[in-house]
Amino acid sequence: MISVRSRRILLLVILIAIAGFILIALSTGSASIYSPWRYIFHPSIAGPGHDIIWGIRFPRILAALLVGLALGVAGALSQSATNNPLADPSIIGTSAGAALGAAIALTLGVASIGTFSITIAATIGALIASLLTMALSKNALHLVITGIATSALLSAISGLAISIADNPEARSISFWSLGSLALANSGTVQVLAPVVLITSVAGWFYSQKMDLLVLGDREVEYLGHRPQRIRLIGFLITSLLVASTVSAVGSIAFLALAAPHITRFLIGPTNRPLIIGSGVIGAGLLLIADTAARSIASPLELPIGLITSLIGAPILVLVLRKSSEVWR
Amino acid sequence: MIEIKELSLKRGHREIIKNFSCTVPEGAITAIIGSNGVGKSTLLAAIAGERFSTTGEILINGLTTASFSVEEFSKIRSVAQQSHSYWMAYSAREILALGNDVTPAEKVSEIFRALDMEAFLDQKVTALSGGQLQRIEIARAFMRDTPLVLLDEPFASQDVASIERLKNFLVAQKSEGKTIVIVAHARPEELTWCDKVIELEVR
Repeated sequence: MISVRSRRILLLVILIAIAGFILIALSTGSASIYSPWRYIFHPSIAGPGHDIIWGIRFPRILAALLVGLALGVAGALSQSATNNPLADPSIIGTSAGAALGAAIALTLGVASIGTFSITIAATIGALIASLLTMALSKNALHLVITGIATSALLSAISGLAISIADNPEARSISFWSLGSLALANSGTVQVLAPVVLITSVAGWFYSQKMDLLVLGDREVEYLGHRPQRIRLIGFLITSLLVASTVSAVGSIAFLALAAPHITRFLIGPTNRPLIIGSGVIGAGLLLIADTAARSIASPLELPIGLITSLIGAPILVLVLRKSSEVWR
Repeated sequence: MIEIKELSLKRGHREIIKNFSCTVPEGAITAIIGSNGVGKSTLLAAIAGERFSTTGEILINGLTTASFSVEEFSKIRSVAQQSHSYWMAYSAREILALGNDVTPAEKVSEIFRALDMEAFLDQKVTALSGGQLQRIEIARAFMRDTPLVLLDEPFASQDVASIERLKNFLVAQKSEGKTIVIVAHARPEELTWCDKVIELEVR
């Protein structure tokens, strides 16, 4: 068991590393900027470099950090709510449900990208999909198989909805299925920040109660609590987090799976520290993935889901193959 | 006191217990015995408040188990299930603290000592043996300090020394006023330390 002091030192080291990555991400990109550090350390200097770094890259970096934070927290809550190590929102249907909710709202013209209304539509879709997967699952293995089936079905319906939509805002199928921060701007951050930050704090507070679920539903009830209610609130918080990210930047796979597993390995399973660690590691991982996505094939931009899948898929395989070792 | 009146229990379509009546005295240790599949654990779960397809009734201090809310019932009885497996590596101490945050520290230490648990309290539950996990369940049940404690096969995974220690612990708890019901795989003559033995028969 890691001590509270060691946990704090580790968190500080990760935060310093993220600050370093932010500086690298500000100075990296398709446009060549003469002496980018001048604009970074002297934000008052005007010029095209200033506009690119502070007008384009900085909001995108903030969006990456917020989305990564949201997915890291959502992954930890999702695994706790289902008492299942494989319960990534993109595996159990939460992300696909959010995408479908957003796509239907866009197709019907009742919401537009970058607004709170689309987040609400995506939240409803995410919550229905999560509950559907839980209701159809008998055990941990079923949860994964049912989740994959639910995700595939909902993604197909989203694809159809987007294909027939006469709405340019529906964007492309690859945006919804692989995610992209290419269009993230200060408006995206303004919508994301309040939802992600408030919901993450709510998740942190509530996660202590969710620790009880590790005892199994019967024992939780013997202790005088209602496990289904705890789970439902957990799903609601997860759905809000996932929906806010999906409606802003599309579905980003595997990050919500990888971040809690890495954190649990570093600091242990208790929910409150796990939520903080998972959020911070999720934010850092997504910042690295997004910087890679816009740098590897520059000036072309890779879908960020490709990079997070490259990181996350091997972790999923490792979890499945060494299920008794990874989280011990 | 617990009164079981003309109780019939079904799991799915299978009738496990039919028209069974008995009483469980207050402040005593009662053992439920019988061969495999006769419904011992099902009866214990029904006393604990689990809802089966049921006729008849179970009364605790004159009130049916169905009349208690989840919160009310949690203050009346605690339950140690036969075993529980964990996938997350909480320490035994962390698991025992879940839902038990108001128990006085000295009482907790006393239970840990009596059940010889101190050596593995800081180990991960994912690395513990079946017997150690079972003692965690038993400790959890007594830490909550409810008047009624239900134990499902508490001796099943214990070694000889642990069985003796556990018996002494249960007798000591009884002398403090607790009503204890255990499910056991034992002959009546091995349970002379219990106050009452209820034998379920194969239907």
